[in-house]
Amino acid sequence: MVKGVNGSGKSTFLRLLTGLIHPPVKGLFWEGEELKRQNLLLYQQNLLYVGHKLCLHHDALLNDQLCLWQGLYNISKASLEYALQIWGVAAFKNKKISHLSQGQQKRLSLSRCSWLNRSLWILDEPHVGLDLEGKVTLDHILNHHQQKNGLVILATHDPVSTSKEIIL
Amino acid sequence: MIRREVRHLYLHKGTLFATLTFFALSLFCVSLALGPEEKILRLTTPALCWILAILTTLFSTPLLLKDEAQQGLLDEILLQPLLPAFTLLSKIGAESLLLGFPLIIFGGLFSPFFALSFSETLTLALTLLIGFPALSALGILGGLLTLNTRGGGILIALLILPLTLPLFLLSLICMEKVRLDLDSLPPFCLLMGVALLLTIISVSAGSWALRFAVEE
Repeated sequence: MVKGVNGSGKSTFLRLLTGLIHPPVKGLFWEGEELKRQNLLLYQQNLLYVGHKLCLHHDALLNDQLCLWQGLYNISKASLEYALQIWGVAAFKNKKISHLSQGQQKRLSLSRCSWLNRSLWILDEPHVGLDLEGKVTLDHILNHHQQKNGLVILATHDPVSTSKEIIL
Repeated sequence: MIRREVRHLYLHKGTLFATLTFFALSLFCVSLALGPEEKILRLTTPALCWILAILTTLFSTPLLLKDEAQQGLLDEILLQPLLPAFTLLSKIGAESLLLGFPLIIFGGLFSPFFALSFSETLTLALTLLIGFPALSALGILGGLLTLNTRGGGILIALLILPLTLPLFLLSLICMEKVRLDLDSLPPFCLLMGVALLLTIISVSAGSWALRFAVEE
């Protein structure tokens, strides 16, 4: 868990870990190997990143977004629909994403955790904007991922049971 | 990949429609403004078509990119297992299909207003077909370079507009050669070469600019 006051650089730190920002001093290491241009793509195939920007097409219907994800991640529609049910947004398939509430958009973006099979999750304040039910779903999914030996790095101000804390 | 980008670009149908409307209306207004003199119409049309194509592409593509950046979709591109250059190429392909072809069709539809012969219309369409992917690539490069700057439009005009000049001039040479019934193959080959070179340079520089654009 990455902790810190507002503006301390949590989001920048997480973006550094994704490889989206080039490290200014020392390189980024994964499983003992320094990440360079050649193995960065391979590393990024292992990670799921959900930041403040939700990576959703605001002009699209939810159904269109699912089609785009299907093409981009080569994932079955059944898996996507199942994930939407878990996150409670399956009923809005014919709604425009910009018409969904902030919390519903966040749930939709976080539904990647349920359908994208990646070992390392990097989540930037995932609890923000979620209602109590959403937070419970998220915590349940985070615990489940850790039980499967998955790794989660998250910046949050909410109390979360965790093995390590990084304070910025 | 191109199909995915087409689907993606189609979501911005409002911007595409506005761009095409601007092109068609400007062309129509210019045809009225130039008057009925056939010689003037035939001489000025190719340049006008090209200027409008350059303006519409260079100013609509960065808008689309800005929209994507605000939604975090550029991060998604960089986190894909593919090199960003391939995604940029597929964006060029999609834009050529959804914006380039309609522009060429509009150019063809308006040719009677400008007293263009069939061979001249065909040449104009061909030069636009060859040049549009390069224009789109330059638009993407301009959009990425100015993504985090204020007044990006002015910077694009300063940085990218001069790079479109070789395409513009070579297209006019092609049109002139066809009009005078001379051998137009050499300028066509040169146009293709320049368009290819500009596309390659823009895509390579664009992949580099994309990494810097998301760092902000």
